[in-house]
Amino acid sequence: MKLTNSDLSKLADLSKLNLTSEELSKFQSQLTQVFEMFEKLKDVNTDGIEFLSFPEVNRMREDIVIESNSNYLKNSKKVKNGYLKVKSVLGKAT
Amino acid sequence: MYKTLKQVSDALSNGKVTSSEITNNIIQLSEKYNQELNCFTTITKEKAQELSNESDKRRKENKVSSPIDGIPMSIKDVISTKGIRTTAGSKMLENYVPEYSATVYQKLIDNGGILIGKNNCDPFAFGGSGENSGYGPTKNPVCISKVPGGSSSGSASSVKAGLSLFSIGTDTGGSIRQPASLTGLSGLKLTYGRNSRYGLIAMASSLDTPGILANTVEDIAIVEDLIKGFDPKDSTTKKPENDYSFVEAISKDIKGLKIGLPKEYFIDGMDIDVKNAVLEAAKKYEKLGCTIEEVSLPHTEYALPVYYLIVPSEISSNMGRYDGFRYGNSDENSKDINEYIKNSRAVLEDEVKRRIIIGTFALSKGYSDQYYKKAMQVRSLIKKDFDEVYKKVDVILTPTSPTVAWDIGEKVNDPLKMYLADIFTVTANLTGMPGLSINAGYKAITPRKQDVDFEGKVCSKLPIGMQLFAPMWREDLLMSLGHTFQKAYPET
Repeated sequence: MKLTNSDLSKLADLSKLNLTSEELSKFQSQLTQVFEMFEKLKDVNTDGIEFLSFPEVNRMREDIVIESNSNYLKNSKKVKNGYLKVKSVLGKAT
Repeated sequence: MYKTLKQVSDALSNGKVTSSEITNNIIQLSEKYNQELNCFTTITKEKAQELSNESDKRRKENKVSSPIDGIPMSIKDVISTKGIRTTAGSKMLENYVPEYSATVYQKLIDNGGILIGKNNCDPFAFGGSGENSGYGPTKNPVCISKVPGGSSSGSASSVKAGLSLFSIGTDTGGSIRQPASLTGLSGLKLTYGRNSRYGLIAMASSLDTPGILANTVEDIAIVEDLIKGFDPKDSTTKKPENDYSFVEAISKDIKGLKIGLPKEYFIDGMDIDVKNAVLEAAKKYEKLGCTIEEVSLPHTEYALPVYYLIVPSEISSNMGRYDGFRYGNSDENSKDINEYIKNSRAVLEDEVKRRIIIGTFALSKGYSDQYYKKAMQVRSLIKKDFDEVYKKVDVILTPTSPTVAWDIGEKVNDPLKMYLADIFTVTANLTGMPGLSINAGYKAITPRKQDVDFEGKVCSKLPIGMQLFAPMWREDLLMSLGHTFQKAYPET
């Protein structure tokens, strides 16, 4: 399938990526080629074929309390009282 | 000097050398050659010196019990090392210092391994040449104008140049085997579930497998015996029904083993010298008492599209965590949350962006049946092909890569061409089975001015790798076949 500029912009938005106009045109031709490769799969008859799964089932473990690493937010930029402080989600930007 | 882990291990045991002598020497060489090779993102000089002194002290006190105690090693930078920067080869994690260590790394440190540095790699292990790294391309020590392969590019480059005796890499589509092949090393991708993924920066969780690059299969066996096994922190690890020692497995007799040559892996368009070298190796195995049989894996041509649908799908969800809040690059000037996330992610490298977009597409409403579901069904058919073939033969022999190492820059703007370099390796990850790459021979080249090795000597031949596949949990077959070949034909 041919990937249009607006398809790509929409995918980038869903992917939370800002693409520059240069990236848009570069990726458009590169990804169109990659998507063409996917079309090959249409030749394969997969009627009644299940997904590949490994024989493992749910693995249960004892419900034991393990002390967690108290430094787990050390790489975070803004932490307040053990919470991550993020930018405004709703309403006007502050 | 010493070429293998085994040789250094013996020299340390016999008191011929100390760990600090070896370590200091390697650190010095690493600082010198890393400027050209760019195989390390971080060299852990002080840590290595401290650890090697401790190892020498243990040896004096007769407290050494592990074959890797005092041995310089390196670790791919997608593997978490507590207190040591872990970049994953991406600018996104330029300043990230993990608060915990990966199980495989911790086991090596507990066994006295000496960390020399973190190996450069394609960002988040996305790539087959090392050129996608946010820290610049890694060079191939055999010929510095060429790529070392990827994504475990720095792992291969550092071991080949003698800057570490082995490296832990990761293999999601060939990222251990292909760089091993392009640099003339041995590289093992384990059965999915044998080694713990805990602490690996995730790429595609249903395919990621940590494994080993080293100079010989024997060295790989020594290391694997120390890192394998069930880990309560990774629920996809498993206790195999028939566990065995990898070191013992290398000396098992290979006479009578049946080796399958799949016709779909010897295709038009591949390098004829690669094809001939692998067929020549098959003849050598015949001389060693194995039998060779042609086999067929009819769904082979679909493996690449299946791989490049499933892997980016898992990637697009695994990469969601890089939002700038918890760790990684962040853009504090953004006004709202949406802009903040997008701007924080702007430093992601091109290949990372491409794969997130492909995965978002493959999983999006209206397309997921046509692409993702279809790919998962064909994945089952690929597995069935292998199950059928393993009823007839014990192992499968193929080339590792369709070509030898190519020029840096040659394929960097053509992702599809780059993806084709993975064509022979991805099936092991799609099916979960183990794969070993060892050197099969060389391709003669007419050296240009730039074709020199890392020490400046003219390079007139490039390594050709061959790959052996075995059924799930049967790495023992790969160990004995690999080791026997290397002993019988040491010139390769």
